[in-house]
Amino acid sequence: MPSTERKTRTIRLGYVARVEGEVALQLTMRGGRVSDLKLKIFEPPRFFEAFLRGRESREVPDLVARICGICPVAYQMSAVHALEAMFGVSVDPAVRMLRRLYYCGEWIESHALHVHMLAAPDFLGCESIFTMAERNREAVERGLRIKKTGNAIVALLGGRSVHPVGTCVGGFTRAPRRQELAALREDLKRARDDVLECLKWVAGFDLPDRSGDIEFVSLRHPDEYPMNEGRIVSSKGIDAPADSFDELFEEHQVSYSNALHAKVRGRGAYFVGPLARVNLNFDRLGAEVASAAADTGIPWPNSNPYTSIVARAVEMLYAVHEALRIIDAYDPPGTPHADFSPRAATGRAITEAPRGALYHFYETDDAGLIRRARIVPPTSQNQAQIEADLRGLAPQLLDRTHAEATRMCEMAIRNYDPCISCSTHFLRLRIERE
Amino acid sequence: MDIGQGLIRVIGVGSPLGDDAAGLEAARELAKSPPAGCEIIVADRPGVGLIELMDGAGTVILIDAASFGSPPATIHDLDLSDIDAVDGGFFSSHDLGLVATLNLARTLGRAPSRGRIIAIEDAACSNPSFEGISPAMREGIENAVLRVREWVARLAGPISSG
Repeated sequence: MPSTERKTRTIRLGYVARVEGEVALQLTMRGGRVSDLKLKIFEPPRFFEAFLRGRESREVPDLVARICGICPVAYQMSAVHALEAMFGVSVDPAVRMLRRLYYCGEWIESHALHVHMLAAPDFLGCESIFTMAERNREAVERGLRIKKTGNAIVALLGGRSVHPVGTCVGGFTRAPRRQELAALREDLKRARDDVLECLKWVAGFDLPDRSGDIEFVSLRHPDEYPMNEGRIVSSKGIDAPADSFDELFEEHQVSYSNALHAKVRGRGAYFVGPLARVNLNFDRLGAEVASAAADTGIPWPNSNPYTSIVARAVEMLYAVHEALRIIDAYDPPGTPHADFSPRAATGRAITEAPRGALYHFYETDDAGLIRRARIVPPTSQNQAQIEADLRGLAPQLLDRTHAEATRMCEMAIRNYDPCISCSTHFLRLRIERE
Repeated sequence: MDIGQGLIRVIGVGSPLGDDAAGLEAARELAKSPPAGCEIIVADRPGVGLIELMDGAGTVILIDAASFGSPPATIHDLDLSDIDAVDGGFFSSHDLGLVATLNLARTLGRAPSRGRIIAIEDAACSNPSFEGISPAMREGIENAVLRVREWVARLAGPISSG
């Protein structure tokens, strides 16, 4: 059918009924304009909020680690920071650095997986990781090596790399010995070279340019690249304490998604994740990483969502440098975790998950049992921005084939690093024409 | 770790949740009295890390729960070279699933030269609970352990070039 006769075109990207990360997309265009666009997320984080009610505070880190198979550290970190604030717990400075190292491990493994296995095939015109492995075996091997290095950090501090259990309110159940951390050095040094190669590689991709008027949001720390602490800042002027999340942002329900949409109060959609962090914290990357990021030739800050893959590589490089720095300076804490006395309180915390800011709120009773919990994951915060990106992209899809339209929608969504179960099942596309 | 071409590596994969732990449990059972010349690994959701776990082993036997629509606890006994014909069945909520990882290993030239997949029917993930393994799956695990022991006996020894 000639394109001029297409009055309405509906694009549906199917979804998979698995445990986490189920996403579908429905996009309808009428007369060249978007008449309907729905990103349907079926992931049910509120289920966990209900699980948590009545549980002891000390159980929370293990329970929330189950929310995501790729970023359990982030869920644990936001939880322990909120609960420690509520119970007046001060952690040992060495524990604080171990937490930072733990987060480095998660960023490395999560970003390595996304960059090499999920996003790169899009930019290289490969159908999948398998096609890419046939054409560019070394890049895939490099991704596996980098990911393994991140896994090893998480496994050492968390007891295991998947759904780790080593974190507790007040610190860790066990602090590693100096030589255990030192054993990671060689792999991290190799990873540093690998990530530098990776950064040059992704910066050389043909990145579509869809720069826009986007509000980027992340934490910002006085001295460090943000992971566990900081103020909330944005590219449109927000600069507020982390516990003011509810005053700054509002969540609202949409009929077609199980995840709440979020927006900046009085404004609209916003963008969290690696690109937001790099944009708002470039001066916290350190000279070496900032120099490597500048050498890519990509200007920072950058409002093109397709540069997210490069921002992810920049953060991998930062995380490897930071992990080495922490390991070299490590002096084991006197005790792996501080004691605490649960009490009736409310508290909140934000930490920077691989995919962006992760907000937790808790209320406990006199015995320290959880009365209420609220968790706002980065994926749900990004939903409205993803839809905005797809609206902007939609006019280009009208005359594309099914395969091209699918690939373009997938790429736009993957800029935000959806989990693998989403990404690998964005394969079924149905187009209806009236 | 390289244990030599003549040895067999048995890897049980799965998650601790309900019957999806079948592969892990079978490997733990085997580890109590491992067959001679056999290394047993319990791999909790290894994802692409499975490639590394297989590195250096000439023969690998994988044990996992899977859903192909058969009666609960049915044993599906597959040759590693048959994975092209496997459509779905194995679960993975994150990271690459078993078949995808094996395909990636093969593409990278890192797949073992021979092996089996012993899949225990999980009846469409019918018991995704924290209550442990169902009685039906217990039976499936016992049968899988017996099947692995049979295969180890048949596969033990040098690999033929043909």
